[in-house]
Amino acid sequence: MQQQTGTRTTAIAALGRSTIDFVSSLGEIFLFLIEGVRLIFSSPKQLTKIIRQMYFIGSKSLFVISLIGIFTGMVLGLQGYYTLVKFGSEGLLGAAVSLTLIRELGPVLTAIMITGRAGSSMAAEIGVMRISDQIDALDVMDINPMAYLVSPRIAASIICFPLLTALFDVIGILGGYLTGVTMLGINSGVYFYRIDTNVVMADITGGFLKALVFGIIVATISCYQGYNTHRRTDSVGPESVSNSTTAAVVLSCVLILVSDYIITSFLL
Amino acid sequence: MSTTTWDIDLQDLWGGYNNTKILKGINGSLPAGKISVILGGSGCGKSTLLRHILGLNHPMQGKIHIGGHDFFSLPKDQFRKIRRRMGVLFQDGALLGSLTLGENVGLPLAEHTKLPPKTIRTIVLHKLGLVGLADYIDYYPNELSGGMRKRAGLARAIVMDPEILLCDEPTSGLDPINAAEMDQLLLSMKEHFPSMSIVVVSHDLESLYKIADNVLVIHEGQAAYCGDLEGLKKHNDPYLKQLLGRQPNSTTQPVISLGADVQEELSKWLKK
Ligand SMILES: Nc1ncnc2c1ncn2[C@@H]1O[C@H](COP(=O)(O)OP(=O)(O)OP(=O)(O)O)[C@@H](O)[C@H]1O
Ligand SMILES: [Mg+2]
Repeated sequence: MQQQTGTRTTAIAALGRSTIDFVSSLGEIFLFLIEGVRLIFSSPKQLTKIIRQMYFIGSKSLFVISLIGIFTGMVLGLQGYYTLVKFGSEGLLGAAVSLTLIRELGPVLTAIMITGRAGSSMAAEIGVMRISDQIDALDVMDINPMAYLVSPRIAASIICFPLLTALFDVIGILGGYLTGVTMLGINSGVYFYRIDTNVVMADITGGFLKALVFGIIVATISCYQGYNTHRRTDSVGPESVSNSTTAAVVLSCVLILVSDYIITSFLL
Repeated sequence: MSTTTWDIDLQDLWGGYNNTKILKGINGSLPAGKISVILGGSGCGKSTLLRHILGLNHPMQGKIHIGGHDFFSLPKDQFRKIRRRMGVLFQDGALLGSLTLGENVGLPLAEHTKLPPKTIRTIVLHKLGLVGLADYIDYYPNELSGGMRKRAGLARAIVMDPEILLCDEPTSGLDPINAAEMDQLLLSMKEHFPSMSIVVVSHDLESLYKIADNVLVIHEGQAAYCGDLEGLKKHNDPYLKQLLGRQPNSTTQPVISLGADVQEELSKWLKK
């Protein structure tokens, strides 16, 4: 009995500890974000770095985003048709596909894809720089490492996430067209007419707002994890870089879905 | 801020990482216009001491005076001003992996000056030429050998004509000819910039005798010796004699083979 109470209190204490750690690290991440955003405007030289990051996060993600977009649209077309035909309203397919994509799947799937592609590499690259003294070297040269490494990535993400989401939406709608119209024979005019009448501006701005928030989340979390690789208590050296990268991807994905729910509930 | 000389004074300096104390009360001075060599066993805290002088680690206790200013209690802008006048060669070079050698060496110029790219490239070519790497200006650090990275690190350290030059083991990993050239380069830097403080961490006794004006020996977290080279040679301290004479800790032969049964078990696998 004594024993049991003991384990129960330690378990509760551990839970409390990890909750406190999590909350305090959220505070730290928020300050990290503020500093990162402030330093975007620290010098005109930031522009070239931002463009280089946009090339990396944006251009290099085009192919994956298109690929995922077309298949997501196609499968939505199939599933939507299967459901709608039961109610005899397969004509609404255009509206179903486009609203699902614009309001929900576009921003979320794009963000998760870019987390895997760019977020992980932000964490790994900055983490390697941390453990091989490169960040200290920047510091000693009086080049602010936050301004040099973190700010351009945050700025580029803020620009690229909404653009890539827009691309994903458009290609997804074409994917829905492929299955719905080309394969299952819905009238092409009806498909686009339903999109036109059912999608309102609020859907689009809501989707962009999500993309913007996800961009900030992914860049901030990934850079933060990489930047603090040396402070990890679970590992040192190369292993700490791999742990930072994993933490960046997992935490980003979780926060994407949590914030998605929160934003949706406010927008509805 | 009127700093004309760049002496570095260590006053009862305690430091290390998190809760482990590595430096335990170091006193000593590294005078301007001289080459000071920091000597000591592997893992005794030489790189750690450099990190403190660079302001990357805070002292736990004690002070570092640079040019007469208490370095760690300066306001932030003056702290940065002094730090901008330092050039560092890190033990592993610490070149940025995503930039070419030329971009690495030119980085401080590109960030802190408005010089046109062409002028920067000319300066970079000159500094890389000094360390014999002018042909490698467009290579990435990972395409070079360890010794070449080290020399490139030195080129970056001197690109802003610093007042304090700190080099962590500049000759380790270099062949004898390149090591000798590195010594030569440090000596000509001293000649060229008479007010510069040059601090070199080294295990290399040969280069110690060639370049050192002043020596700081660290042993068990404290300064076992701080003074000129002649004084060090004449010193009677047993540790210093052992260090300079390259004597091992024990005179008995090391036992190479394991116990008979373990050795036999291992051998079975090695012969498979
Ligand atoms: N980041 C770190 N965190 C904790 N301890 C460290 C860290 N870096 C070094 N140490 C410890 O500090 C001590 C001194 O290390 P330091 O790198 O200063 O040695 P050194 O004199 O430069 O050795 P070497 O000649 O081999 O380069 C070592 O015992 C090492 O384990
Ligand atoms: Mg060292």
